[in-house]
Order: sequence, then C-alpha cells, then structure tokens
Amino acid sequence: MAVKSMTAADNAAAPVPVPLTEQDLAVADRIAGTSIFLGASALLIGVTLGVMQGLEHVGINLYKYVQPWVATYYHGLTMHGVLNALVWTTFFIVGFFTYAIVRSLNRPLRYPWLNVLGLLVMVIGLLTAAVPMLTNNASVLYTFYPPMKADWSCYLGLTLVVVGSWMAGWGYFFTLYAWRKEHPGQKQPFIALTVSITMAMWQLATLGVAAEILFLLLPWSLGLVQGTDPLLGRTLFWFFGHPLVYFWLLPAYVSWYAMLPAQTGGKLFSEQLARLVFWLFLLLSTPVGFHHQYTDPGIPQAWKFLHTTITFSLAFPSFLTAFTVVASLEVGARALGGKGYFGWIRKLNWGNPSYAAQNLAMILFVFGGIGGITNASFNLNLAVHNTIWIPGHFHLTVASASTLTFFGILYWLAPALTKRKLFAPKLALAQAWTWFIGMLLMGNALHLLGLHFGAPRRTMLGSAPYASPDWNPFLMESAVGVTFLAISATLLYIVLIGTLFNKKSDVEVKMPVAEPLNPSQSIPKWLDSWTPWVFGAVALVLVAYGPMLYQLIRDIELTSPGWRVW
Amino acid sequence: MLAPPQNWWKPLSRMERSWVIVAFVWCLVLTIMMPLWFFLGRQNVPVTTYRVTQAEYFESVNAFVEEYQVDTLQGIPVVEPPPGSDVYLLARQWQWYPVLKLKKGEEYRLHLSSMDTQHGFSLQPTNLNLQVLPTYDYVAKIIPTQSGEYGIICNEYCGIGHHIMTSKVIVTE
Repeated sequence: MAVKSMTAADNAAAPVPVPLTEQDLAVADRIAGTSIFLGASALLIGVTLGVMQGLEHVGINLYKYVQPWVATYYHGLTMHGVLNALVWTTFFIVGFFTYAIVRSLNRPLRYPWLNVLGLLVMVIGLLTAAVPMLTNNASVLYTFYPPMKADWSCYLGLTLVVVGSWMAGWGYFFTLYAWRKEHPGQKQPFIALTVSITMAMWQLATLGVAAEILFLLLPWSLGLVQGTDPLLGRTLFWFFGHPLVYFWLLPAYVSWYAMLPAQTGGKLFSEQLARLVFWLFLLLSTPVGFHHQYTDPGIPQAWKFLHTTITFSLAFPSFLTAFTVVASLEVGARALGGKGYFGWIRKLNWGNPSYAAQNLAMILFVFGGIGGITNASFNLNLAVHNTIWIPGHFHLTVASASTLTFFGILYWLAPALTKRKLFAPKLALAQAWTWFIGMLLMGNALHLLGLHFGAPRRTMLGSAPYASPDWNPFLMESAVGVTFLAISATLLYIVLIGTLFNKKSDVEVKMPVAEPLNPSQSIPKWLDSWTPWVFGAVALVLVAYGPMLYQLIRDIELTSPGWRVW
Repeated sequence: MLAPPQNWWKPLSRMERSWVIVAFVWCLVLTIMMPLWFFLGRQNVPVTTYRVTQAEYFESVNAFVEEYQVDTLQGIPVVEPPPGSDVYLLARQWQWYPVLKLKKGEEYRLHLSSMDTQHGFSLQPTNLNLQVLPTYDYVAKIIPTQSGEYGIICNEYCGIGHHIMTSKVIVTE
C-alpha cells in the first residue's frame, strides 16, 4: 500500500491530555480577576480626568479643586492617556485572555507560575511609573516624544508593564503548544488561536518601543548620554504605536467573532474567513507606522507610501470582519423570528446589557473605521494631522469599539469570576446606551472641529487665546457628550462594585462560545499553521522598516538636550 | 505518508465571495487614489530635510531677520523676504519667530525647525500641518494663494505654554 495509515504506536506517542481541574480554573481566574480589577481601577481615575478635560474646553475649570493632585491640564492629560490607553487596556486584555484560553483549550495553563510572574512584573511596572506620573515629574503625555524628558522611573515602569505582558503571552504560547502536542492532527480551537495570534503580534510590535526606551530614553534620562535624536525616537515609537491599536482591537474581535453570536442565538458564519482575518492582522499590523509620520521631516516619501499601502491592505480584513460578524448575528436574529432586510435587527438580544454594549460598540466602530482610513490616507492626513479630529477618531475606536466591548464582556465575565449575580442589569443597559450617545456626540464634535477649523489636539482649549467663537457650538456638543459619559462611567462603577458585593449565586455563568455555522467545514492547513505567517510578518517588517531604520541609526546624532517644560 | 489535501481553499458561499471581491476592489481603489492625488493635487507632503545643529539654525534665522526686517509686532520682528527666497521660521517655548510677510502667488522655501522640544506647525484656518523637530531643518515649498492674515498655532504638545504659542503670516497682494 502506498499510503500508510497512522499506527497505534504513533498515536501513543502523543502525550496524554491534561484534564482541567477546579483548582487549575481557580488559578487562572485569580490571575484574570486581579488583572481586570487593576485595569478597571486605573480606568476610574482616567475617565474622571477625561471629564475634567471636556469641561475645561467649555470654560469650566475644575483643576483648581484638585491641587496639588492634578497640578495642570497637561498633568491630567498625561495620566488620562496612560491610565486609559495603556493600563486599562493591557490589564483588561491580559485578564480576559487568561480566562478565555484555558476554557477554549479545556486545559490548564502550561506554566501557571509564568503567568503569575507576568502579572507581578506588570504591577511592579505600574507602581514604578505611577510615582513620577502622580507627582507631575513625567507630564510628557502617553507618547513621551523626546526631547521632552520624563523621570527615568517612568520609562522603566512602562517597560516593565510591557515585559510583564510578554510573559503572559509566553504563558499562552506554551499552553497552546502543549495542547497541540496532546492533540495531533486536530485544528487549534478558534479562541485559543486568536488569543495567541494577538499576543504574537504584540511581541513583534513592542520591540520598537522596547528599543526606544532601552537604547535612547533610559540612558539619556539617567544622564549617561547628553542628548537624543527626536526622529529616531518617533520612528521607534510608531513602530509600536500603530500595532498597539490592533492590540486593543483584536480582543474585541475575538469576542465579536467567537462569543457575541452565541449571546444572540447566532453562529460563527465562516470560521475559515475569520481565521484568515486574524492571520492577516499578524502579518500586516506592524509595518505601517510611518502613516503616523506623514508630516515628519527626514523620511522619504517612498517609505511613507509603502506604509500607506500596507495600511490600506489592513482595511481588507476589517471589511471582512464587518461582513462575517454581522452575518453571524443575523443568523441568530433570523432564528429568533427576525424578518425582512433590516427588520431582523430588532430581534437581536438588545435587552441583554452584555450583548447591547458590544453591538453599540460595533456601530461606533463603523465611524471609527472610516475616520481611520482618512487618517491613513497620504493626502488627507495633511488636513487632519495633529488636529482634534485625531482624539475624535480614537475615542470612537479604543474608547468605544474596544472599551465598550470590554464593558460588555465584563457584564458576563464579572459574574463568572465573582460567582455573583450581575448587579442591576437595567443600569448596565443604561450604561451601554449613555456611553454610546456620549461618544457619538463627542466624536462627531471633535471630528468637525479638527476638519473645519484645524483646532489642535492635546491643548487646553478653554485657555487658548486663538480659540474662535465659531468653535463654541461644537465644544458645547462635545461637553454634552462628556456629560453623558460621566453619567455612564458612574453607572459602570455602580454595577461593577455592586456585583462585587452582591450575594453569591448558584447559577454558573459560562463563557459564551459561538459554534461554527457549518461544523463540517474543514479548515485548510495554511489557516492553521503558524510558520508562514510568523515568517511573513518578520520579513515584511524587515523590508518595510529595515532600510529606513538602518539609515536613521547610521546617521544618529544625539544632540537634542532634554527639556522639562511642564 | 499523508495524501496532500484536495482543496487549498474551501469554496466560499456566493454572498461571501461577492463581499470579499467588493472589499478587495474598494481597498484597491482607495490605495490607487493616493498616488494619483499626489500628482494631481496641489497640497503634498514636503520632501527636503537637512540635519542642523540648533546653533546653526538659530544663526540662519537671525541673519534672515536682520536682512529683511520691516516692522515689529508685539516685540517680535516682522520680516518681508523677497519672492523666491529662503524663509526661516523658528519654533521655541512658546512662540513662533519671526512674523512672516509674504506675497500672494510667489513661491518660497519655508524652513522649519525647533530650538527645544517638538512642535506642530498649523496654519489657521486653512489646515496645513507639519511636524517641527529640533536638529532637523524641514523645507516646504509654499505658494500663498490668497491674501490676508493667517494664524499659526502649535498643535504638538510642547509644555505648559503649548496653548498660548501663536503667531501669524501676512500675505499681501
């Protein structure tokens, strides 16, 4: 016979699957719960500062009441960015992923100590960075562009947060690897695979910021070298800065594809296409950073253009996501009796706060996505670069698409972790809607202010002498949005703290998992194997960044002295 | 040995296939528009950059001001350079220096650099934005197409006085 079948001996070579015990679950859930608790605590401070910023823009200055805790607008703005965009997101994502991967694989973490250590390093990093930040010794905003110079401990702390998240990722890789050894020939479960892909992308992307901090900023802020090179710093930052937004987004995609359909009776419409989307994100996420640097000196247009093209290739998987996710939800709505071209939308599970929050997040992401394509356009960027359009954009993406989805996830995950009932689900539903309305108003106003008037971002607009009366209607619209958001945030913490102190419930809350619509559909090998995609991603980074980074490093001049001007 | 799989791609359903094609073509159109507009449009990213030390750039600015100063506005010199010449603008804590007076329809080479942190050059209200970095001399070819007074503000965070950093460009007939 030409084709040999697998023998019993081959089968026996695979290690015996390790069963998932209650104790293993308890370890993973303790890590998840701690991580998410810290993230949500950071967000509480972060959103409060955001409300103060929005009100400052319409002339209500609250900073005088919080002296010396928040010394200036820019001190607050730095903490707003770091706590919301870096701390809340990273800590939530690590927690959510730790919870999800063990359930997806039905297998304990391979090295629980590695994940515990990762969280510990993240916490140490957070505390290290918190000291200079809270004491106004690092008010350089969350992009920390040199030659503005923060205290060295701020750079070190942020690095440790990233290193800790790497360790969490390594923990997932080892776990997935062990599962594959135990299940030869089986396709990797969707959630575990996409969690690992997100973390692999993160490993590659964060190399940029790690290099910036270790080789440029730390030696300089410690006084070992006298100056720095601002363009090299920016380039290394944006090597990390753009894939960072996909690190925020992909966990939301994991939930939209693999969990949300199950919450409205739907099924994953096409697992094949869904996997392709995640692999494309691994391949294309990193070599796109120059689209944040279109108006920078010193980078030839050809390189900027190459990064533009790769960025627009990334719009493709997002378009596919729009199709597959909506189709998966439609399957559910039609099964529940939905009819007509659009009539089925009413049959979605709108009464459930977890579902509603995530669906509303998706709607906001439509606008966030369109704005993102505008920002990434080589030509249009000149008109919106550094204007308040940009914060308008990312409040619809990270602060809506990601954050509102994370709230939705929390509405089942918090009860699952605490084994208590969700406190006041009606309030949770109101929370989702007020966040949606608030972001819609604020996002709209900020986009228009940037586009029509060129109003600058990151600016204490309420005190700017050039602020024109024409801006007022838009600033007012934004302030109304901010008011909705303040109410929404209050509701969020009432629900979360209420859940934490609610009475124990016997009803076990399980992670929702969407079944594939067509379970017999087999997955082609190339959509289940890591090698081509990982090598492809590294190769693309080398092509898109290698020559330019080589040139910038070759011509490096560490001549810009540091400035502490806040 | 295992037989190779029959299909490298399982066929998609009809609707799915149409959507994949529509999405791909749309991304292609968006991408092609950009180089097209680069050649057709009148407002593009500048290309020329020089490395300078801050002292060198400061010297160029001072020589420029000395040669072409015509007036003073709130303590800052107003400079009217001849058409076609090199124009220097300097960003520092927290001002733009000097005030420029340009002629409509003439071309200038506008140099931008910073004496300290990063800044953002933003022309108001027409929306033209350029990043200003210390030790890099960024040169943009500009042709003012309308006369009048234009504001310049800073749109990259540059410290506690970021929001008061403002100046103007005067374009005469």
